[in-house]
Amino acid sequence: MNISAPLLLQTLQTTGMKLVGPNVGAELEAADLIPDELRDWLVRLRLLHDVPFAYFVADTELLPAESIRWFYVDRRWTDSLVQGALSVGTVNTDDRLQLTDRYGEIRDALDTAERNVRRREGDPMLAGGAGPISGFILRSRVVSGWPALHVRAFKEEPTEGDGFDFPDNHPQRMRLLRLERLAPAVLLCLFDGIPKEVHIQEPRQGVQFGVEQTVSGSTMSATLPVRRPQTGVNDTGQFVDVHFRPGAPGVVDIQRLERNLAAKGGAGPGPNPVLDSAEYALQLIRFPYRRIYGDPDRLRPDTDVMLRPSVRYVTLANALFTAGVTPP
Amino acid sequence: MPADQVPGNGEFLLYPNIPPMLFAGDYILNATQTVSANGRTAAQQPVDEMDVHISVRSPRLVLPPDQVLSTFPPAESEGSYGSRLPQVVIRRRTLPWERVLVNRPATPALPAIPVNTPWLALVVIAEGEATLLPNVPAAETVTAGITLNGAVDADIGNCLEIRQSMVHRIFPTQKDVPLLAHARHVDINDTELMMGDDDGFLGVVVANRLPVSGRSDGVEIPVKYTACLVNLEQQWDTLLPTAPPPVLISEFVGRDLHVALSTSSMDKHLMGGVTAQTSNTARLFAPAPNTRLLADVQRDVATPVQTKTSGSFSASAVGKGIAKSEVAGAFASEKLHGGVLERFDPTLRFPVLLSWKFTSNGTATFKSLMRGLDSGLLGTKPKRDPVSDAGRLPLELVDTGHVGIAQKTRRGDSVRAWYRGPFVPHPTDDSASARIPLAHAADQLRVVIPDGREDLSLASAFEIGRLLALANPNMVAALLRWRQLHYVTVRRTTIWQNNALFLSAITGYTMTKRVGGDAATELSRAMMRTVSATPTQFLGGPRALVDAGRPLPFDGDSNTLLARAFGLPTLRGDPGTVLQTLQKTPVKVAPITERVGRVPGAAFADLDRTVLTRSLDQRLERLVTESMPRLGVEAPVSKAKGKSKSGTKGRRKTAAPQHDALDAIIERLSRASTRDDA
Repeated sequence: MNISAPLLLQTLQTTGMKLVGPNVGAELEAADLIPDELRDWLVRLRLLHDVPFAYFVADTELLPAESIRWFYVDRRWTDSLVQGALSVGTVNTDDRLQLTDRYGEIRDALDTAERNVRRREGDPMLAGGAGPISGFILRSRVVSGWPALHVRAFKEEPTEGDGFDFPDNHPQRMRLLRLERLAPAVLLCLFDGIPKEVHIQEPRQGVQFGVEQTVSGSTMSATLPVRRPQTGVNDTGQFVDVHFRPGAPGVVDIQRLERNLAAKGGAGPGPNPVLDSAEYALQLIRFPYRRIYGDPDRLRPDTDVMLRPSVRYVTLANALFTAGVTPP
Repeated sequence: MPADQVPGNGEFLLYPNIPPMLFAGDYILNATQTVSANGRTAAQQPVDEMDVHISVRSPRLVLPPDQVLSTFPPAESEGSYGSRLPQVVIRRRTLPWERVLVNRPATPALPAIPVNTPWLALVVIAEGEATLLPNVPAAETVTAGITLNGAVDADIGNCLEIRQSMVHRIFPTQKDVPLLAHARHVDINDTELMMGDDDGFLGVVVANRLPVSGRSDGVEIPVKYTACLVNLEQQWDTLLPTAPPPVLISEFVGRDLHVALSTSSMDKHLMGGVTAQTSNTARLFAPAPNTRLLADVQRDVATPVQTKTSGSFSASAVGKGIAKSEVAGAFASEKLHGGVLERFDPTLRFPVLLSWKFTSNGTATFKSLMRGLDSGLLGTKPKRDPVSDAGRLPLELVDTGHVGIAQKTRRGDSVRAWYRGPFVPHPTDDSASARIPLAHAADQLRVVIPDGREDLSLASAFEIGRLLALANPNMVAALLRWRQLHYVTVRRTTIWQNNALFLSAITGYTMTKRVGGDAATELSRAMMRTVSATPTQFLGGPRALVDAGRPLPFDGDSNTLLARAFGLPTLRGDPGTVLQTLQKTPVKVAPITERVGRVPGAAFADLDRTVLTRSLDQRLERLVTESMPRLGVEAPVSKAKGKSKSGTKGRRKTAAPQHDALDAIIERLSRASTRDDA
């Protein structure tokens, strides 16, 4: 069409045409956002997937054997990680200008995506900026010996008792961003927030029978707490020794154990204190053990310290980083 | 049947036993009837007895897989099971009590078996203590000389071959067996335990042995165990009546689990019951057969066993807890004294209904390990172990979580630098203002702190992020593609923005900040929408429904007008007469044939007609054959001029007798041409 734009414009204006256009702005905005695959990969990077372990723990002395170490995740570190990944292929000033232009938007997209990483199917998408992330590294034989440990984090101390089995949608549950074995005996866990209490529980594999073992040198002895046969609770405070058959490692003298249990009140009501096999099984049942980490001042039994600060950071930061907290 | 109580949510009920109404076996139900009548004796009115044969069947040599709900420890698993008793959960609640152990009169030496004694026991065998023989004929699954009365459920089964002495050592005693089986009623809603069971009643058999791991010189070694559910039928009396005097401690399975038995010492042991064995190991594993079996445990041992052929007992070994192995000697002794051995320590066989293997590794329990964990924030200074840390520089660790590391600068100087990973021992500031601005190179993130040393934490993070991205070609490609897409978008946007006002005005299409790749489509859509809404503005008004006719000029008398209309020069005379004359004048109408005939030259006319006829024929034939192929019209091929007609005629006869318009035309043309020729 051989027509000049101003002429046509003038024509249209004089004729007083009213044109209604389609609303296509939203689609176009989405077209240039960071691609999904790239975003997902960067989120994985932000949750420190694939990062060599030596970058987490710079020295073995920081994570001795049989230890659990709690931490907060440094956003500046993970941001630097993402910036390094984004810097790939920025050759000239134009590239860098463009990246600088878009960086804020990328970071916000990653913040939102990060919170939805371990979102359960069917849950609403979480919005908003990135909150703090905390976690722990557990280096212990419990990781290798008890695969599929249960780790539960709570925003507030749960009020339910020890026997309670916390469902996934418990209101106080805190989401886990990552729970992964980095090595056969090293477990990394990241929480979406800062929990008040964390439970680490032996995997449930059905009902188990067993004793309480004590190892001394090259021998092993065992005891068994006596349960009240009527209630099934071991509140008697009584323990019986487990006897073994001589010459056979591990073979329990069942008969002697039964007599001892009967003598300590483990037998059910009846004329003669003898345990039948049901009462005997009741005495032997062992429930999965749960270790609670939280605030030990709360007087909850069997609780170990978790994220208790040991140093006043402000003073150190003032002393060490006043000049260098923010890079130029 | 215990059915009055139901377990609540998450609860289960335990029963000592749930014996069946009938034991497994063959039964005869015998009914007699006596009829009495006046004046007649019963003998005079006999009623035949009726025998009903009933066979109660139950697993005997093989436990069907669907009867096993679960086993603990899981089959083929490895773990720290040393404080847990293995168990098997069976779906059929009555199974452990379904068979009679042995039918024999009670004597003072062999007391009667208590009622409701299970016929099954779960025994746990460390590697080498006994042999599991697979696929043995049913009759050979029990010790020679013993027959299982009644039907067996399988032709072949597995059996455990074990020495009598080992039975005494690891099998439960006669007093233990009843305690080791119970029935369980689980909550019907407890889906994890249910797994398809219908009523929630389960039979459970527990082992009498803790599968302790091995230990040698304080080092834990894994030990393989086999758990076997054995059938004790007819062999009840091979079990110990009561347990020997117990001890409070249990040994671990040793690494060098060998018996220091020379041939001579074993002879003494067997013949005279000499207890002169001073070695601890010998106390544990006295008789010879173990030697061969226990030697298998050495499979786990990295160092090969030094075997001696000499038969003398090593004096130096006596003092140690574990004697040196003399496997070869023991082998020899077994061969030599096999017959004697068999008499004093016979080999027994027990049918194995179910067996699975697992490995026990470590003695620590979950509880003890978790309680022993050293909990603290990352950066907690560990206790230094003077032995293992000897020669190591002390860890340079400050309370912010930074550690000092050796750094070789680009100039080659060896200096110390600070490093801290992503995990820090204090809450971080996550507000937007605290986030670092974009860096384009790792060097931008190097920080020199007041003590003069560099803090390389963020620079390292940048660099490892860059390397991880580069290590992933997909991501590099995605990054570059995305960047390219951005450039394309910017360029497109720039071009379109120059015409934004025009486009907006003409189509109502509003330019956004960035123009995507589908802008052209969107624009054309907007254009179409606008055009169709107001077509007059773009395409002009619609065409009128009726076109105006030509104006007729009336500019002369009637004769003149008529003459002009007919194309004649003039018409003279009275208008009425002229009209009449015109009406009476005949109009010559030429027939179509004449026009054809008027084509110059008869040959041409004939050619025309022939060609026309033939092409029409062909078209017609093709039409007919294509549209009605099922009529089986053989497509006539016009090879020559003259044959075409006959072909057409033939077609008519078979296919379409109707005389249609096309035929009429052709016939008329034929007639006309004949006439012209004549």
